[in-house]
Amino acid sequence: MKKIIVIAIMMALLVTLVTGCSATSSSESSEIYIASANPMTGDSAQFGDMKVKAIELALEEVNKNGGIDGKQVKLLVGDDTGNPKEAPNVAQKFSSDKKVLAVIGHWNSSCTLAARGIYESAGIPVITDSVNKAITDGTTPHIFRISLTDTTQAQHLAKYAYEVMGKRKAAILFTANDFGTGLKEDFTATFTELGGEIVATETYFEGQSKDFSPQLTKIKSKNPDLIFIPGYYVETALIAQQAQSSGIDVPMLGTDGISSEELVKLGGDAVEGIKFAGFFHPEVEYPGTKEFVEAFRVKYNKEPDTYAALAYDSAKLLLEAMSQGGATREGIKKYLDNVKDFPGVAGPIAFEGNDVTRGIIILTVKDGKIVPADIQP
Amino acid sequence: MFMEQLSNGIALGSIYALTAIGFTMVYGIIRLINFVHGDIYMMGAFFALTGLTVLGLPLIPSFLLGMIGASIVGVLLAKFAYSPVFKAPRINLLLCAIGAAIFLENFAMLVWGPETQSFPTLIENKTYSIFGFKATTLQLIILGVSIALVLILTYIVKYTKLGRAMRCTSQDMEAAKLMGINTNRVVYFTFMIGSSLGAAAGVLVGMYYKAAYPMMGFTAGLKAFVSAVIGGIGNIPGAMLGGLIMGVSESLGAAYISSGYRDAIAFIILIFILLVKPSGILGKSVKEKV
Repeated sequence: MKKIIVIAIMMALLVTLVTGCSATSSSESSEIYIASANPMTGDSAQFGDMKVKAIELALEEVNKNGGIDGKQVKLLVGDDTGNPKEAPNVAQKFSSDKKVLAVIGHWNSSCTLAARGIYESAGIPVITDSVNKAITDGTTPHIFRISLTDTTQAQHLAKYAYEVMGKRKAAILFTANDFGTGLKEDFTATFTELGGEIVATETYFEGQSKDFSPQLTKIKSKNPDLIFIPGYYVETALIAQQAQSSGIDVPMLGTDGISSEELVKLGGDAVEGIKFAGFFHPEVEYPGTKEFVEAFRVKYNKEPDTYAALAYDSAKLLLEAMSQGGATREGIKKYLDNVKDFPGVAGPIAFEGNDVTRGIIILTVKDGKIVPADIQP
Repeated sequence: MFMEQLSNGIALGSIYALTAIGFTMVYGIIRLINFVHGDIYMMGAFFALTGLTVLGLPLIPSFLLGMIGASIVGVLLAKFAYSPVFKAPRINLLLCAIGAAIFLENFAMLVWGPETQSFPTLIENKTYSIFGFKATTLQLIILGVSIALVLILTYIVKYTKLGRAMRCTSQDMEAAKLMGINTNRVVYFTFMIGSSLGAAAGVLVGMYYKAAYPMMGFTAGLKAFVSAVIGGIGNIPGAMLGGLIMGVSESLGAAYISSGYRDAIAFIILIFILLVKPSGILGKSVKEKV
C-alpha cells in the first residue's frame, strides 16, 4: 500500500513537472515550427531531400524579412523512410508536439494513407503531394493535396494519348503500389471509354526491379502503339533503355513521377521523345517562378523539380496562412479552406474538396532536355 | 518468345551468379553469411563511378579502383567489425555483418548522396542474335566474367598453397593454427578477394543498368544469398548454377505466370530446394561430429 502511494505521488510530481516545463517553453518561444514528413533515407530519399531543400528555401526568404509577426519559422524534419509502417510514428511525433503547426508531406501515397488518420485526430493541417485519390475521400478534412489525384492525372493523360497523340492500342507497365495501381486502373477506364484498347498490362516493384526484359518481351509480342508507364524515373529510365535494346520502338507516356532531370541523366538517348505529365516547368512561368528557380540554383546548384516546386508552394502557402489566419493549427486550416488563386510558382492554387484545382502540362525530352511538349492538352 | 525470354533469363542469371560467387566464397572459408556483401558491391560501383566522373580515369583503371577500394573496405570491416567477435558465437558475427551493412548504406548516402546516379556509357552495347537467342555486348561480358571468375577461384582454392591454407582454415581453425597456418592472414585474404569480387559485380551491374545508388546492394545481396543457397552455399560452381536457375525461372515466371509474382517465384524455388536437398544442388552435406 505504501509503495502505491509513493508511486502515485511520484507520478503526480512527474506530471506537473512535464506540463510545467512545456507550458513555460511554449509561452516563451519566439519561434514557429512547421514540419516535413518525407523519406530522408531509403529508396525514395532523393524526393524527400528535394522537398526539404525547397521548404528551407521558402523559410529562409521569410525569416530574412523578419519572419511571421516577428517570429522566426523553423522546420522540423521527420523521416518516414518511404515506408508506410514508419509513417504513423512520424505522424504521431509531430501530432503530439504542440509546437508543430502544420506538416508538409508524406511523399508516398501509401505513407500519407497510413498517417492521415493520426493528423486528422490531432487537427493538424497537412499539405501533401501524394496522388492517390483515397487521400481526399472526405474523411480527413485536414489533409490538403497540392498535386492532382492520380485519377485526374490519368484521365488527362488518357485523353491526351487518344485525342492528341492519336493512339488506339496501349500497353501498361505499372509499379505495384497504390500510386501505380491507381493510375493503371483510371487510365484503363478512360482510355477504353474513349474507344481505345489496352493490349497488355504488366507490373514491377519500385526500388527492387532492375530487369524488365521479360515484361517488355511480352509487351512487344502484343504490338501496342503506346506504352504507358505509371512509375518513377529510375525505373522508367531503365525501362526505356531496355526497351530500346530489345528493339521496341513505341512512344512512351509517363506520369509526374518521372518529371526530373535525373530521368535524362539515367536514361540518356533512350528517353528522348518520352512524354509525361508535369505540374511544373521552369519555362512555364507564373509570378515568382523565375525567382524561385534562380534562388534554388544559387543555393543548391541543382535544378528544382516538380516536387521541389510543389513543396516550395506548400511552404509559402503555410507561411501566408500563418500570417493571415494566425499562427495556430485552426487558423491555418481555415485559411487553406478558403484560399483562392494563391500565386504559386507552379500555378495558382485553390482547393476544392481538399484537392487543388489545376490542369497538367505535358513535358517531353528533347535533345537531352526536359521541355514543354509542342502540343499541350 | 520463349527463346527471347530464356536469353533474358540467362542474362539476368549471370548477374546473380557474379554477385553470388564472392558471397559463397566467404561463406565457404569463414562460415559467415556475409550480409555486407551487397553493400560492398555498392561501394565498388561508387568507387568506380568516382574514378570515372570525378577523377576522369578511363574504364580499366576505374574498374580496378572500384575493386581495390572495395577490398580495402572489406579488410577494414574484417578488422574492426568481425575480428573483435570472431571467437564469440556465430550469431554475433552475423549481427555485426548486418550492422556493417546498415552502416555502409548510410555512409554511401552521406558521401555520394541518396539519389540514383547515372553511370556513363563506356561500352557500346550491340545486340547479337543466334538461333533466336539474343544477347548484348555487356550481357556477354558479364557472363564471360562470371565464368572466368569461377574458373580462377576454383583454381586458387583447389591448387595453390594459399587455397590449401584456406580449406584447412575452413575445416578447423584451431588445428590449422597448430599446423603453422597464419589463419588471420587467411581470413583477411578471404575478405579481400570476396570484396573485390563483389565490387567487380557491382561495377559491371552499374554499367549494365547505367545506375548506381546507395540501396542497390540490398536486393542484390538477398538474391546472391538465395542463389548461393540454391547452388549449395560455399560451393563456387554451385553459386554460378544457382544464379542461372534463379534468373531463368524469374524470367519465365514473369512471362508465363505473372510479372507480379516474379520475386516470389525465386523464393518458392528456394523453399523447394531446401525441402528436397537442404545442402543445395551441388552442396555436400557435412556430418556434425558428436
